[in-house]
Amino acid sequence: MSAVEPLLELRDLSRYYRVKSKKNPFLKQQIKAVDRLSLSIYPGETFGLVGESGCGKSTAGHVLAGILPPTAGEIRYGGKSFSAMSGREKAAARREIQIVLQDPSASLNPKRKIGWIVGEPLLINADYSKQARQRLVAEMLETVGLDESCASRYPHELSGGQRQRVNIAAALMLASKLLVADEVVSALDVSVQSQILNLLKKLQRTRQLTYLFISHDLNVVQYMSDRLGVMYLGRLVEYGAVDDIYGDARHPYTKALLSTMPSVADRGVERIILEGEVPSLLAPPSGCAFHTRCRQARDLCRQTPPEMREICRGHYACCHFALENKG
Amino acid sequence: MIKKAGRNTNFKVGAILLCLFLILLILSLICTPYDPNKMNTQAKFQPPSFQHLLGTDNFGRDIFSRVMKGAQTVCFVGFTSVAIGLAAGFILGAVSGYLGGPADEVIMRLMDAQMAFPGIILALVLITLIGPGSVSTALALGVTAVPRFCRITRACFMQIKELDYIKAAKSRGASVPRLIACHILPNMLSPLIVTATLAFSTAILAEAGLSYLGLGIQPPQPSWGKMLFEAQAYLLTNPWYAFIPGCMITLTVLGFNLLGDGLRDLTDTKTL
Amino acid sequence: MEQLLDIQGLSVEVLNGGRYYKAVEQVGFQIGKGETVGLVGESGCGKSLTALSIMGLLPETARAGGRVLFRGRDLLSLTEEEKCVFRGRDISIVFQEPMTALNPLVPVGRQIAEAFLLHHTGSRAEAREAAIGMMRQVGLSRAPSLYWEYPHQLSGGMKQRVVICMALINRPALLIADEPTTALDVTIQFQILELIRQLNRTLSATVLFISHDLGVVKEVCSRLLVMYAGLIVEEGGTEDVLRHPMHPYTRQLLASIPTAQNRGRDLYSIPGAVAPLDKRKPDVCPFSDRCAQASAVCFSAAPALRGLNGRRVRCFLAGGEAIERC
Repeated sequence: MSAVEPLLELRDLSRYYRVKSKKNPFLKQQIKAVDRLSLSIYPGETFGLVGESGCGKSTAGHVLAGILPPTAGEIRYGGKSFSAMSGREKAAARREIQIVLQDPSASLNPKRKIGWIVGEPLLINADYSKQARQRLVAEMLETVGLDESCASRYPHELSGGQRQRVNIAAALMLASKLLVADEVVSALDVSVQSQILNLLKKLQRTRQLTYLFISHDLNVVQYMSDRLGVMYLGRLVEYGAVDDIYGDARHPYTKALLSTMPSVADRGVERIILEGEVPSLLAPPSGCAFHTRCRQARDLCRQTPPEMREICRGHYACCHFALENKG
Repeated sequence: MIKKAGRNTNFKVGAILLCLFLILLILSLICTPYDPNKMNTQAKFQPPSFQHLLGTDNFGRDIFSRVMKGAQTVCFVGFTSVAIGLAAGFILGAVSGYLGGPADEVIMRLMDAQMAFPGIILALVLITLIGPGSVSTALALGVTAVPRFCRITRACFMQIKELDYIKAAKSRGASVPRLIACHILPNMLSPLIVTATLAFSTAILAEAGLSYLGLGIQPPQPSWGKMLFEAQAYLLTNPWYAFIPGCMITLTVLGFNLLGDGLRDLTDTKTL
Repeated sequence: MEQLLDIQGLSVEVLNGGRYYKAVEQVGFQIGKGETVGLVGESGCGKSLTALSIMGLLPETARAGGRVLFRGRDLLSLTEEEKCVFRGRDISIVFQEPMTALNPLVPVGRQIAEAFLLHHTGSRAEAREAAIGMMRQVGLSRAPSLYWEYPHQLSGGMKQRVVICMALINRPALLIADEPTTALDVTIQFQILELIRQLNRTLSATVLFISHDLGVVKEVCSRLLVMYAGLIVEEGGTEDVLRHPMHPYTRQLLASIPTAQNRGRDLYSIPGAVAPLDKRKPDVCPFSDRCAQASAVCFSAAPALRGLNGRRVRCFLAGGEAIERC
C-alpha cells in the first residue's frame, strides 16, 4: 500500500471547543473533542472509524467535510496541504470530499422537494441549465435505486431507507471521490441497513469511491472496512487492517470493545466488561486516558501518556504494553 | 392545506373578519358616503339611520365615513410598524442567532434593555421626541416591536442552524446567504408569520391607545382610537358613538389574533 | 415451570385517519416464571404495542382485544384503578430512553423511594433504605451519595440503571424491557445486559426483552419470538432459532446482518418493505410479497402458527425441502 500515495492525510488534526465552566460562568474551559488525530486514507479503500459516543469520531468527520474548521493540524488531500491550496483548488477539493449524515430525516430540508435537494450541489457549484440539472438528478436518483418520480416528492413522504438514499445521491452529485459516511445506517432497520450497505459497496466499485466510514456498530464496520481506527476520548488508540485489529487487538480498549460487541454468531472469546463509564472530556484523566477503566493499568499509565507503537506493518496501538498484549 | 384550513374554526373566523376589514378599506379608497372631515353643525349626534348608517358625531361628521377612513390609518400604522419591527428584528436576530458569541450577547442585552420599558411608555417617549403624527406613530410602534421579532428569529436560527440539513448544505459549499435564504428562512416562516399577525393586532391597539392620549394620529385625520376618545364625553347621551369605533378595534384585533392562532395550528404540523 | 403470563389471541387496532387498522394480530405466547423471553422484529412490527397492551398503557387511539392472563387474571378487563395496583407491583416496564423516563427536578433516589411507597406502606426512612439497597443491587455502588443527585448529573448508563432500579423496587413478577440498551454505547450496553442476566439469576426476575437487535437478544434470552407485520412468525429457543431459522423472514433477516463471514460479499437484502397498515392483506401470508420461496399456496391463504420440532412457525413451507435451500 505504501507505494500508493494516500488520498487523504490528517496530521495532528485537532478540534477544540470552549465551553462555559459549570462552576464559574465567567471562565471558559477547553474541550478537546479531537486531539492530534493522524491517519492516512488510500484511494479506493474504506477506512472505518469506531468508538463510543463523545469519542470525537463524528467531529473528525465534520472537520473533514468542512462543516467545522479545525483548531490545529493539517489536512492533506491528494498530496497537497489544505493551507497551501489556492482558493480555487480548495473549493475543488471540498467538492470531492462529501458527507452523508446519520439521521436520514434530519438531514433533509423538510420544506424542499427531493429533486431540489439532490440538485442543490449543482446549483451551488456548477452552471447547468434547469433541464440539464433535472436530467442529472434523475440519473443520480436511478443510480442510488430510487424512482425518478421521487424528485417531485417531499422528504416526509419517503421511508427512512429512501431518505438515506437521497442523502447519498446529493453527496455524489459533485462527482465526489471521498465520502465521509457518518453513522449512515445506525438509524435504520436491519433489512434496510443491508440494502444501504450493499448500495455503498456497489457505488464504491462503480465510481472508485473512498470511504471514511464512521460508526459505533462494530459488526457493520468490520463488514465494510479495509482498515480501521479506534478512538477513545478524542484520541486514536489503535489502527490497522481490519483482520489485524479483529484478530489481534493490542489496545485494552479495543479488546474490550470487540469482546462486548453483540453478535448473532458464536464467538468463543472471553468477555471483558469495562468498569464505569467514559470520563468527561472536561476533566480527562492524566497519563493514558484509558487508565481509569483499564484492568492492566499501572503507575506508568497514570503518569505518562503512551506513544503510538507499531505492532506489525500498518498496525499501530497507543499503549505502553502494546507489544506484550498478545492474543 | 386548504382542506385543513376549512376545518380550522380560528382560521375561518379570523379570515372572515379580516376580509370584512379589507372590503371596508378598499371601499374607503374608492369613495366614502360623505367627506369624513366635513362638519355639519345642524346634524350633530344623529342616531344611525338610512342617511347616516352609523349616525354622526359631535361635529356632525358621518361616523361611517370616518370609520372607513380610519381603516386606512389603522392599516398604514399596522403595516409600517410591523415592517419596521420585522426587518430590524430579523436582521438583529439573524446576526445574533447565527454568529452567537459576543455579538449575540450585545444584541440580546440591548433587547433586554428595551424590553425593560413597557412598550407604550417607550412609544410615548419616542413620539414626544419626534413629534406626533401617523408616520411617527408607526415608527415608534415599529421600534417597540423589534425585540419580539429579534427574539423569535434568534431562537429559530439557533435551533435550525444545528440541524443536519444545514450541515449537509454547508459541506456542499453553500454560502451563508444561501443557507439563510434557502434553508433557514423557509423553515422558520410559520413562527414569523404568526408573530407578525399578532404584532399587527398589538400595533392597532397601541395606535388606538396613543391616539386616545392625543399623541398618535392628529385631527382631523380620523383614527379609531381618537374617535373613541372624543366619544368618551358623550358616553351616556350618545352611546353608539363610542360603541362603533370600539367595536371596530375589537373585531379587527380579534380577527388578526384568530388568524395568527389559526395559522400557527395550520403550519405547525409535522415538518417531517 | 409455573406459568406467569399467558397471552391468547391478542390483537391491537390503531386509529389512523378515522379507521381502525390491525397492527397486532393473533399474538399468543406464554412466559414461565424465571424465564427470559425475547421479542424481536423491525420497527412497525408491533412489538412495542404488544408490550404496552400487557401494561395497559396503550394510547387512546389504540384498542386491544383478546386475553392477557397474568396469574390467571385477564389484564385487559381490569379497570383503570385495578391497573394502577398491578402496574409497578406485578409488572414493570423499562423504556428505551432513560433521559425522558426520569423527572429532572427530583433527586433520583427520591424517585426510586416514591416508586416504593406507591405499593408499600412505610415511612420515608424505610423507603430510602429500600431504595439504597436496590440501587446497590443494580450496581450503583455510590448509592448513598447518588441518592441525592439529579438525573442530569448522571451518565446515560447510570440513568438506565436508575430506571431499572425503579422498575424492580417493588419486586415485580415480570419485567418488560423495551429496547433498554438501544440508546446506550456498546460497552455500557453490555453492562446493562450483564445486569439483566444477573438479576434473572439472583432475583429470578422474569424478563420480556424487546429489541430489534438479534445479537443483543441472544445475550440475555433463552427463548425467542420473532414478529413480522403484527404477527408472531417464529418461536423457539434462542440458539435453535438463530442457528436453524425455520421461517424465511428470520432466515433472511439473519442473512442481512453484516458479520465477519460475509465480508467481501454483498449482504442478503430482503426485497421491498413491510406493507403499511392500510395495505396489509389478512388472507395471504404477510411475508409472501417479499419472500423468495413463496409459492402458490402462500398467496392463497394465511398460514397458522403451527408446532414443528418443539418450536412454532407461521409458514406453509417450513420443514419442507424447498425452504432448506435458501
